[in-house]
Amino acid sequence: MTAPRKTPPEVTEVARSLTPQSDQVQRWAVTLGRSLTARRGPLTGAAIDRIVKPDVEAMLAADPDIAGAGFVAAEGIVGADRNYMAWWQGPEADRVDAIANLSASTPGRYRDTDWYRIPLTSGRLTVTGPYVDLLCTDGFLLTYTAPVEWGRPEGPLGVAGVDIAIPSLERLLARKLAAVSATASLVNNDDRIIVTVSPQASPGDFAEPSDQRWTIGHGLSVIA
Amino acid sequence: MPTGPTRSMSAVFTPLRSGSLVDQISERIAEAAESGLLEPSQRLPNEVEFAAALGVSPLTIREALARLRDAEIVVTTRGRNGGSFISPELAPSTERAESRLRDTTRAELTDLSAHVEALAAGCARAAARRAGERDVEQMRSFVSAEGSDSAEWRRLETEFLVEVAAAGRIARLARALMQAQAEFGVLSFLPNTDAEFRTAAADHRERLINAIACHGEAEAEDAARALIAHSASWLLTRHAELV
Repeated sequence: MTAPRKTPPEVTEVARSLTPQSDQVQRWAVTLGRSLTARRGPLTGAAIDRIVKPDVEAMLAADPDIAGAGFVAAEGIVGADRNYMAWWQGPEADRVDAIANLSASTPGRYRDTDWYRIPLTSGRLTVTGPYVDLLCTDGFLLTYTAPVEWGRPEGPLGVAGVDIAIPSLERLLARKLAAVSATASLVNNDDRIIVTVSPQASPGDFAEPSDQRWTIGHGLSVIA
Repeated sequence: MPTGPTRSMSAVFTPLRSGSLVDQISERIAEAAESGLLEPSQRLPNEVEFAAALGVSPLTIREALARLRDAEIVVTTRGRNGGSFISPELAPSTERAESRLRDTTRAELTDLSAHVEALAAGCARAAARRAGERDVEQMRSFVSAEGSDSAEWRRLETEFLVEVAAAGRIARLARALMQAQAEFGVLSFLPNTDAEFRTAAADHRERLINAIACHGEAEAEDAARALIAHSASWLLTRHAELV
């Protein structure tokens, strides 16, 4: 399969609609890394909350397409063999997964999830989904996560990210995809459909193979 | 196989909403203790740390703890090593599960099992259509456990359903399946004390995975129904013996 030489402007338009999300997460991961490292004293759960929560509240208030956002401290930062989850969702900024922070029996609760594991190991912004997040929010989501660096040899401090509900993405992108073609889809790295205008397919399905394909970054592609 | 409880406790993690916080917090902790996320005899943080962890006031935590003590979910001891703990009595046990089974009617068991079966069938069909290789791989890690630890087998049973639900990618069905399955509570521990039940359940899971892996929607639905019916019929049989 060969990619078409030139990206049509309609595809560029789809890609452009998605840059605010990835830019925001990248930028936030950097500023969060600075504020968390600048803090004196031990990085307790309460200290993390005080730094992360105001940012999350501001993001949730500013953009209704953001379903949730937060930071997960890597294992060993707040306590041995445990993560710390500082994540909120919805217009009321409801706390997600709080009781797991008290649990002594949940090492590795996030270890196998793509949104946690991949940014930590690759050092890059990762787009996970579309998936049903049965761990925290029960929503059908796309999650953007980026590593939060602090320049230590033991690796990143954790991951920062935002959740975007698939229906929100569909509202954002449907008309733009329709301008690409009558069966256009936004797909992930596995060719799984995130948003589609095809009458034959749904988000979550695998896309039919197509010769018309343009990669638009972070593992996402548009197919016609 | 991953260690420790993971997504099977998802019901516990639905976000905390404002309003009637004491009710919600005591319910969540009770559920977390029931499901094993908070372990029997585990020490809880002091009121101030606890409050910070959940983002509520220490007063709210104090009231929630009082309620949990009344319900015998939390015990508080005084002295130098004192503090609040999840009650050691809460470990899932055959006695506790049997007493719960005795208190449950056949009508309720049938009602709940039919609901879980319908939801599992729907999730299995969707999974047969939409599961990728990694989804199938994940399911395979929850077919059977080594050894005969009933609590371990019960956890695996729930984790397996979580994987099927996640692979189907229908949020509503997945959520409903997890909630309905959680309603079995300690009852789901009981069939897993029986070696014969465990072996047959593993076979049903294997059959369901194979159906999903070759995209057989009807076969997957069938296997999911058989898997849930296997638990239901075990519980109904035991129920008849206990009454």
